[in-house]
Amino acid sequence: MHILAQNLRMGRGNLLGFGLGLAALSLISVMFLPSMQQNSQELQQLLQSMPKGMLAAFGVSDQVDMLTPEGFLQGRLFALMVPLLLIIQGVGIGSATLAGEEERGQLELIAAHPVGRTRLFLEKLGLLGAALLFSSLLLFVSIWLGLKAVGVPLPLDHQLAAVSGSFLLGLLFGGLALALGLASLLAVTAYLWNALTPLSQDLAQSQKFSPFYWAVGYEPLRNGFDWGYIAVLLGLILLLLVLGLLRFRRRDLGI
Amino acid sequence: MRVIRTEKLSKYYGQRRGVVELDLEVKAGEVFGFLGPNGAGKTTTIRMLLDLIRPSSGQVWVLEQAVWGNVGLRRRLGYLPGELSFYEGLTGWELLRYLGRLRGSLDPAYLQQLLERFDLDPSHKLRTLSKGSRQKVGLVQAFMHRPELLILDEPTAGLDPLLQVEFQKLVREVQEQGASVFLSSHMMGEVQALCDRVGIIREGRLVAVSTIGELTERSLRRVRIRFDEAVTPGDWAQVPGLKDLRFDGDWLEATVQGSLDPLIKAAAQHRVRDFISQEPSLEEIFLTDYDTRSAA
Repeated sequence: MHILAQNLRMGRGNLLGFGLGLAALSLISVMFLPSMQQNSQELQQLLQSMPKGMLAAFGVSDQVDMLTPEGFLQGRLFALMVPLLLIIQGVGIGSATLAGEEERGQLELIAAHPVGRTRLFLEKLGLLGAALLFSSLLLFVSIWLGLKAVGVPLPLDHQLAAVSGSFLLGLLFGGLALALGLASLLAVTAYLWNALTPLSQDLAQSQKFSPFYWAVGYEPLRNGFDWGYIAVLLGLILLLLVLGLLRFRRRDLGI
Repeated sequence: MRVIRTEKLSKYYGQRRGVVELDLEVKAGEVFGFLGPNGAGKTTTIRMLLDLIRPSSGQVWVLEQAVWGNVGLRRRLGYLPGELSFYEGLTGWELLRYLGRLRGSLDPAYLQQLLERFDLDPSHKLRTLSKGSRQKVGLVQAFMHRPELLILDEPTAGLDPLLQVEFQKLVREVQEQGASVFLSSHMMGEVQALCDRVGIIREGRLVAVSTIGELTERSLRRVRIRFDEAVTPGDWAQVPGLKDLRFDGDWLEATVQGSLDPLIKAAAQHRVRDFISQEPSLEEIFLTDYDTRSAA
């Protein structure tokens, strides 16, 4: 675990900053809940005056009722912002810790030590997992505390489902970056697929083929855990990481 | 025992040539110089020895073991990369301790001794170090666990002359203690001072392996001698090994192949005011090598 420990030590400032930022952002959104409920009529008028396409691009589709706490938090946080931030963190770490270190030449010295490729890959994956877990934990705690503070009761497992979905998205695309060195474009595609396909009647059904839908698109805050989707996400992540590991064991280090 | 053995070892990067059908043998206890110009394939070869990159074809054994995925083998090796990139935010200590942890153990007394020998203060952040100091950190980490085989890619790059001497002493010391050393270089002088045998690589192919003695014997030297009085071509044509004789007033200029001895004996007949002998450059050695090959 020396590689994981060393990487955590070197990145601790970033991890802490990112986690706290994410938590603060979420807390602010939760704190807006009471004023949203007071001014719901004005909000409704505002939403109705906006083009549907634009709302959809920000993750607010017809099905999402922005005037309920679940819908409001879905629209403000879980439709785009939170998953996106966790994806950014995941892709950032996933690509910096292998591809980036290879490119900078830093991995050469480490890989020449008695450290197997599998161990190297798994400890780097451990770094990705630990970072995302830490951010997600802070996120969960801030939402939970925030909801308590404003007195809005949402089932705990629904909160957990929304955070887990976001975490898995971060892990999926971070894992993609770790395993294959490409992720950003695919993440954007997956997001837009989930967000915009419902606008077209022909494509509406295909929304369900985006990882964004499996993670947060089905409104976990309202609907709770969907274990089927979680299983699909986990399976996809596992498949991706196994392929990445097999490839990493065989290939030349890019140094 | 052969500490390094390769058999028809080739590496291609797509169409680009890395090394071609390399047959290399390094004996136990030997200091072997791997000599070649930049881009000849030295680093490619070394990275295959460390299992950092994989051969396109052919075989590699290090310490008589196959290298592919061989973690235990790397425990017994010390490696200095040709291009050192560190985690710049760490101090020297932090890096050395980390690398020590990856090896499982660290001999603090020996580490301290190495730091003193190279006059290295490891308490500074790596990003603040000069090129020479970075190279020292690289050397210290390569030697600090007393490896059986040291693989050093351009070890003295950036070291000042005093430290180059210290490095040479260290290499001889570990050799006496039974370690073997494989080092690459593009400078003849360094190799001459240190190595028992030399392999010359050019454009990805091993063109010659010889002892240092043979290499010097074969090589060409440009010599200029200034005498007290003007010299005449007369007797000089008889001196063996001289080519391209030229006379300019009291200067004699010639290319010498092999031993300098006959020339010096002949020059001793006269009063000599100045004697300049230029160490052959790597290119000149290659040229001689190809000359002898095509003659054979």
